[in-house]
Amino acid sequence: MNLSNDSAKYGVGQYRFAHNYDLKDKRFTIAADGKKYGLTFNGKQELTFDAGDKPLTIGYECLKIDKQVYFVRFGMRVAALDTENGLATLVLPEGYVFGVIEGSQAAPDKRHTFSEEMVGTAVRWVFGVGRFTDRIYFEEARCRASFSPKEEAFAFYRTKAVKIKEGMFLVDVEGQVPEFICVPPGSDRILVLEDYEHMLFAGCITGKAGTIMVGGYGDFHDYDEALFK
Amino acid sequence: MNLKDYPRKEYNIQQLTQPPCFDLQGERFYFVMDDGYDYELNILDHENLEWSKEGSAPKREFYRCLKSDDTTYILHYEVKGAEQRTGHTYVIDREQRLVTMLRCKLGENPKFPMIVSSHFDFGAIQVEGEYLPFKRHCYSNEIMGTTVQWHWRSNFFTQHYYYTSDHYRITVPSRISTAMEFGGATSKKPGSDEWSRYIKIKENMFLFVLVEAYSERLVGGAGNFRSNNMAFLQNYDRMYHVGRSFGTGMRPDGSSFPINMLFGAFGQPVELDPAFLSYPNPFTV
Repeated sequence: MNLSNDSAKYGVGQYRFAHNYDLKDKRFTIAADGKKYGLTFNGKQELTFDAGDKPLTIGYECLKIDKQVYFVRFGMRVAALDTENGLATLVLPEGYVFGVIEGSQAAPDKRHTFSEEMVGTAVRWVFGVGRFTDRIYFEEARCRASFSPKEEAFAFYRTKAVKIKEGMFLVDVEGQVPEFICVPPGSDRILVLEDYEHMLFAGCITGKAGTIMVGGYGDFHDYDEALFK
Repeated sequence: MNLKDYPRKEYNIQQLTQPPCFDLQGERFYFVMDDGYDYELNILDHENLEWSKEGSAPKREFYRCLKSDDTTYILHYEVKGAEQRTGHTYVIDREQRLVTMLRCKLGENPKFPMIVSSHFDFGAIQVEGEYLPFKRHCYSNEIMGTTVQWHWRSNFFTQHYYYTSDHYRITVPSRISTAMEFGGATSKKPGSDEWSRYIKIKENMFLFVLVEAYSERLVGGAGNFRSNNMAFLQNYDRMYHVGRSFGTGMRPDGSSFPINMLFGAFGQPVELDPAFLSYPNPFTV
């Protein structure tokens, strides 16, 4: 029996890595701009987020992108935790928070930051068999993106990129995707960690249909120069 | 900058390896094995463990671990101080509480000491107060007929054909030859077929193990080739594998070096040339 298959079972989530449980039973306090945020992982599936008002206990999903870098989604919030360098980025409904993990060796003034370093990059991120997005990061605040099977149909999307460490970025692409493509209809945000050393990515797609965790690999292709303008 | 030009390391088959997993740190496993010798693993932290064979003192090793799904792990260590290089690889299946152990050794074949031997054993994970599962991971032909293309790194793919219970066949895109034409000495072989084993771990997940034994016998030491034992934990729902390679490599100057590394790749269906699929295995009667 030929066991090779397309993405019928998991769709755009096919290449997602296994959930990671490294953080279970760990607690992090993230200090940023005079405020403290607590993240307590109560086992493999639930965490408590404390932003100083009413603590929120909620389910989480964690994917690992590097030896000590994690993408954690809890509800509509995301934490990118770099436990090697002691830095964290929180993506909250009220905006981005760049903090330092208390008790780490991070220099007091060091933070993740928005970055334009990716401008000039064109990359294909593959979610599963025959399912991918082409990205052309042609300016800091916008990218051109297309999705299989309509890979020729590029459109503009709002873009933010946060430098997590050398060769690694948290990339936030927002905008309504077209119909009949590889990601669920109604999707309007794709937030992933992109690792240009290993050419792996991990993150999530959100929209009307809910949230789906994704992962996979990247590759480079040749694109029309005009798409970079 | 165009991150295509990012100054990344030079990778062989390691680039798309998923990150190492530290899930198991702090855990202790007791494996009841079918060959009568039980094993215990005490995972001390994210890189050190103690292992013991029933009746023996615990030994401390450096280990690495990858996950194929949320509950299935491949864990490997090389036994320090062994007279002949020895590796232990476990597939730890927490969902079914089952384990497959692969013990590998160099030097068992006096004529070809670089060929890595493979000894498999199956067992169950004992948990206090729980029954011991009687099911086992098992050798399986279910995967026979599978053709798959594995993407290892930018512009490097291999295509596998799993066709009998003890061999597999490999080529690379655009080549239909049964010879493995990676530009090295292995292209002198009459075919790319190599010894292999297929073990079913669960539905759509298999441990595929190959040994580059014919290559070692026919061209070992020439053209910078030495052989390895490669264990792939393949997840066909996700179409990816994680695994490890244990054996020997050879530098351009002819000196050899130990290989003990993790790897991984993403798969996709592939149609292979009928001539490639039907070519007789030149190594069997």
